[in-house]
Amino acid sequence: MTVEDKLKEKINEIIDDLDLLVGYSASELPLKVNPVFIKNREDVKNLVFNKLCINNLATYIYNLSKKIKGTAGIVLKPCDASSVIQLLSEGLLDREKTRMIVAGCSGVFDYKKIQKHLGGQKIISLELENGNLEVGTINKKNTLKAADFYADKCYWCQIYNKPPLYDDFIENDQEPGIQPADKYADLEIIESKSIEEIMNYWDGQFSRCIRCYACRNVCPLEICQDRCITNLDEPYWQSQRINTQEGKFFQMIRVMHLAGRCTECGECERACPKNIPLAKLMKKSAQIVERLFDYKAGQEIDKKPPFLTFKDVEQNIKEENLS
Amino acid sequence: MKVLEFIDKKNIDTWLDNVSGKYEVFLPVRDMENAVIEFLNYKDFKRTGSQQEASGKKRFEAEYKEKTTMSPKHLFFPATEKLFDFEYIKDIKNPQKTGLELTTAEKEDCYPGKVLFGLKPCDADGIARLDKVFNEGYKEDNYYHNKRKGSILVSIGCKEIFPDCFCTLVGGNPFNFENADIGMIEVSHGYAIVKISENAEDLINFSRQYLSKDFKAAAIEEEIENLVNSSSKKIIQYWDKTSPDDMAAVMDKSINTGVWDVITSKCISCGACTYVCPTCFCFNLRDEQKNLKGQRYRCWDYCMNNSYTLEASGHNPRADKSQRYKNKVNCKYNYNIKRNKKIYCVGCGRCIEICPVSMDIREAVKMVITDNKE
Repeated sequence: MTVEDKLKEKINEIIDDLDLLVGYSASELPLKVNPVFIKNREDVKNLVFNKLCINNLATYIYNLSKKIKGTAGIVLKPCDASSVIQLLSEGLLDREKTRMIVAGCSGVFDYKKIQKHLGGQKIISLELENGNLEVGTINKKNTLKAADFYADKCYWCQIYNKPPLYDDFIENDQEPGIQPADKYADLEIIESKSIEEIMNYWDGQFSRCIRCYACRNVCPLEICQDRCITNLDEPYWQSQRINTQEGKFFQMIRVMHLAGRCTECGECERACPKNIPLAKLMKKSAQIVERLFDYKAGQEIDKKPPFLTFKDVEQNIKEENLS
Repeated sequence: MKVLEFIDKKNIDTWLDNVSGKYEVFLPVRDMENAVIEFLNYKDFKRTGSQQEASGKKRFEAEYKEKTTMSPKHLFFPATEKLFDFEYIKDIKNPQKTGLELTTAEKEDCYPGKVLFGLKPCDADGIARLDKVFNEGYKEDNYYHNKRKGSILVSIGCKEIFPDCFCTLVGGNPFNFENADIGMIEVSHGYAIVKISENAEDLINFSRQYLSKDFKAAAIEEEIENLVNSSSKKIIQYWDKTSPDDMAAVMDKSINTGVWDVITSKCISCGACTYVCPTCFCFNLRDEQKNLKGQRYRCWDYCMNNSYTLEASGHNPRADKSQRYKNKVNCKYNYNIKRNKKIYCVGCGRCIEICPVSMDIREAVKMVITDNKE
């Protein structure tokens, strides 16, 4: 029995207790899956759970909990569960109203990575055969090594079959078999450059920014969306101009607001229509927070996030170095 | 389709090089590293891009198959545009009176016009729809008109159809050159030119030396015939062919149904779909002032934004994303049909491709149509 079958069986058992269930369903487009919202038992058969389920469905849970009275069920990968944990630890969700259905994961493919590898060629079909991805582009079949195209987070994932928190857990017998990689290797490459080179790199990236705010809206932890400072007219904090400077400025605000909250699900980078490597920024901020406050977001409900509390003396921050 | 002219594949590069001496040429360039395709100025691309081209980072392919990531609308309707500078002038002798001085941005057009090479037929349709908004009707929009004036749209017919293409469902087709100035079709070892508008005659005469004098018209026409017949069949038929007026009637009937809540449950209400859309034309005006000096900017706005309809009173008539998405679809499939007689969606599928949560406008329209039948 595959995880998908076990998941459907489980959901069939509990669907009557739920007001709504968020899950994945198949999409007409290759490489993608659809988030679906189901209420009825007959829709359960349409659910899927496979290696294309890269979306973090925790994105929906905050708004959903405001809308519905009863319990919302949500299908999560173990890494997505940490986003929910973070929301819970900040008191933004009601534990009673959230039913976390966590399915063990054997890694998800990052379609952006496949696209980047093929230089932005449009992908028409995708099949997984003997550890190889058969990717169809126009008039061509590309055989790619599947092990290279997992989402970045999969390469340092340690919880694929051990979710930190769940209500229902569906174990995955399939081992991911992904060779672990150094999480901070790409940051080290950037940081080894001079300040000017780093600035040029980011200017080049943000010259593409169109300020569509897909990064902000897809983030499971950015709950301020409609009240975001960039939408305000009074006070007018940020110019509405769409250019490198403003894109970068907005992103800096976003990174600061998510420091100590970001669970590094990588949704912002996936959502970006112009492929700006936003996850690198998030990773850096999480690294700094971990060093300064010994805190990793999305691990425990009871641990207070560093910016939601106050300490007289911070162990790792030497005051004399601050000036 | 009748072949009017023919240009050999090996002449394309030198031809563009030559044309860029007289016209401002824009063409789609593939950025290999970041997997985006964008319209770039040929000269900028040659100047800064040649090094990158040599290293394989950026590449121009005349026969490129994919659509550009962004639609070409930003060439005429930029994401940010300064309309004018203003300055308040105070008079010491008469302190109650304040003068205002305006300086409009200077025109920088010294070219006879832009040449947009390598548009898809749907891109040209999109520009034609924007023309209706900015160039016809109540008043001509100078800022748009100055950029659009004299520009030549060179479309290349689509031999390849992608899973998100649906131009035939909204009145277009992969070889529709109605709105292009020059219509080209890639055939074996060259490009057949099947449409030359009045606008483009100068360009064709200017590039006479690159056009083949003798070509086998009959054989090429047969090849084109086959292409035309096979390509539009590949498009998935989400709904039966509907006239724009019928579509508007269907939308009207569904305005107060619950189907919109179902459609939008997964939408995250970002602006990616509107910004890549070739027909979305909403903008926001804003004065940015510091002390006595300031500028007025016009920037793209998106209707999925909460503050798009937020009123000064604090009331928002479209507070929920379902209301916003309903407006978005109706704007394209209803209101603009009544205003401009055309579906304001050209079926390019960019919004479908870039949506991070797989929203599909075809799916939405189909759901509305089926909801209506029940």
